[in-house]
Amino acid sequence: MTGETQVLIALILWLSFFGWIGVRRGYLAELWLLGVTVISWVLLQEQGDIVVRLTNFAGKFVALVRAGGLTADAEEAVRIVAEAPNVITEDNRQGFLFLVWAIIVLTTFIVTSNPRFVKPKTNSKLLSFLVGAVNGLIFAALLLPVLNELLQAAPLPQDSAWGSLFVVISRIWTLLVDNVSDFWSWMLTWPAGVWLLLITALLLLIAWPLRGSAAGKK
Amino acid sequence: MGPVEILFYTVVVIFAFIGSVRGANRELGNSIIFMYVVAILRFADERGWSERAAEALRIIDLEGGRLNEITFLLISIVFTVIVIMSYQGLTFDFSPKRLTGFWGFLAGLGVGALNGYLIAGTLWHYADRYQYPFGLLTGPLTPVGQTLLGYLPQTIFPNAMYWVIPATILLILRIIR
Repeated sequence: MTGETQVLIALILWLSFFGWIGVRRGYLAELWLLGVTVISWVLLQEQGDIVVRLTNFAGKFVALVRAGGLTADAEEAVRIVAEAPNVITEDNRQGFLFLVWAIIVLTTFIVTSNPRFVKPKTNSKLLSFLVGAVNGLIFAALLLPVLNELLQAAPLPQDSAWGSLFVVISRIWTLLVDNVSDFWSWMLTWPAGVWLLLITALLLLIAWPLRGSAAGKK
Repeated sequence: MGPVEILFYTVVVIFAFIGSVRGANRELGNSIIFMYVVAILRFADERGWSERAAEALRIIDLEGGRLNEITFLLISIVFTVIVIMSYQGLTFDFSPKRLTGFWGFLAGLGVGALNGYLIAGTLWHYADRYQYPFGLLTGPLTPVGQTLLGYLPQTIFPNAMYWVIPATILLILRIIR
């Protein structure tokens, strides 16, 4: 079996998986996902500076509030804003834009999976499969270059299939642990007000759908 | 025994799983109670009431170590009784409606973990404050343990009123139907 045949089989498996998801979700939901995925990617690549500037602006505003700049005189406020470092720099710009895109895609996937927002069209399975497969192609084109960086970090052992699998899994695990650990270290620098907001927001998010349900039971 | 933070994590995980089984609708009721209790304990600490209560125990002529043990024991018993009462028998449920599916499981897990954090964190805080009586900690705290001491329910916020805010918002949501 040639290398090209293997690639073809892998691609068919990949597209079949996305096609199956398409059949489960319906073509309308998949069309929404396709549109949002492509448009948000193009917009973030072309006009990403706007998002970066807005985020840096928000970062400077937070720095101003934390330094008590809202009650300071104008000159002091300008100095605080000027001295506050940018949250998004050239080093983390691409990663930040990718994160924004991933959040948009994930939110769209969750929202369009909800029948309250997009009604599933179960009677057009072929169309749903095709649109799902197209989504699979788009995700392959956008995600594989990023995932490839993970595999290129060090050469995989060629003599053992289990060895290669073990190396890939251990790299993914290391990446996960490093990122969670970095995120946790960053969380520990948050001021008390941010923790309060986070805890209150999460509790409200959980409690809100449960609100008012006792009245009908009585 | 291993590092004390392992025990802390274990209690949080156990309560998270209890939360996923009981459901967020029931766990939120417990959270309201625990947040108020933590706020009251912190309020008492800020005003030196617990120190005064400890001073009162000196009339029975106890040495320093025994005094710490008895004070920690009293606080722990009162807190544990409140925890058991909030889980046992007729409980203060937030809502009879249960969140189902994956998000319901996740919500139960999250609120259960918060309850575990409030319970284990409070007990750890008082154990640390009264110098780990009854040999609760034999060696020095690890760096992770030292860091976590600043993020326990009694220490994460600058004053007691911070825990009152989410508890009161939830209570208002619970009352207004």
